Amino acid sequence: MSHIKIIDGKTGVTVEREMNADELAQQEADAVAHAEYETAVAAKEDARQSAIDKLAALGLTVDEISAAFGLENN
Amino acid sequence: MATNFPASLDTLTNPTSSDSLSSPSHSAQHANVNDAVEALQAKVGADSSAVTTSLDYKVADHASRLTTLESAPAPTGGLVYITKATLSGASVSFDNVFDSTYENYVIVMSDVSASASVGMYFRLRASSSDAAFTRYYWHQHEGQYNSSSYQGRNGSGVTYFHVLPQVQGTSTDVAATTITVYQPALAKYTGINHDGYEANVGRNIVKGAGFYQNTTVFDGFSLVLTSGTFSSGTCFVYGLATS
Repeated sequence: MSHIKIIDGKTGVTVEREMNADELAQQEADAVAHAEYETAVAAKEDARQSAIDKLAALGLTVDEISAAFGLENN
Repeated sequence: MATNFPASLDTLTNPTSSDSLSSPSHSAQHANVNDAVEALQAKVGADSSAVTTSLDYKVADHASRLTTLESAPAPTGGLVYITKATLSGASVSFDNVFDSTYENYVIVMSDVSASASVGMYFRLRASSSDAAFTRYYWHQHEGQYNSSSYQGRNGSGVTYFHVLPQVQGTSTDVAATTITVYQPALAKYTGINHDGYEANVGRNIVKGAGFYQNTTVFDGFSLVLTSGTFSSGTCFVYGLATS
């Protein structure tokens, strides 16, 4: 089970409890969404790096690749 | 014996039924009591006493100062502290922090770390429930210390604002961010602007903005890790005074 902490700004009362079924379902959905998003970001990064490598193989320098395409090695 | 009061308390001798009038001296007994009573009166003070060392003067003076403080107008301008909390568990929610008192709010988080490298979502909240609906629209830029290029991320009709992409699972590589929340308690679109860093391997600088595409009136928000639990972190909530 996962803990949730809830603070009431008016009363100052803090409640710590286990997540209910709806909150747990949302947590699982968030984890899946985040994993999918990170996979997509990684794929985009791989494509960017692949483009840099191919341009370099054509003889372009790092500065030329950056100036022409805005691509930089990380 | 002259009275010692108020410098110190007197020790008076009580006569017994078998004592003569001369021992202890009857007149001296009266004189001692008279001296002590006069010292007490001086200490208490007459009504509306102007003697600054008297209790009457001090009580009246303090009552007057208290009335002045109570009738003073509330502070205006700048940030007004609302509440704070230490981050723990898988998510931290704040209820009853947004209302008609302020139009805009500032949320400051620092020393944020988690049990693993995870993302942190920011979700609006109403009546003790997260608004996990597909109405969040945002864009964020992530820059790294070793590159002048940046990476963009966006969310279009998703169920969250993504304010920290990589909260780290170490006590030293902490993250921090400041989120400005615009008009959450008004029946208008709620917007946010956030600006933070993640002191991890990539040394990310994160900036972004977004809005919730609905006129829901919100009274709180949640900080939600995409997995794991908070290891550290503090969150402060402030209202931006309207005058």
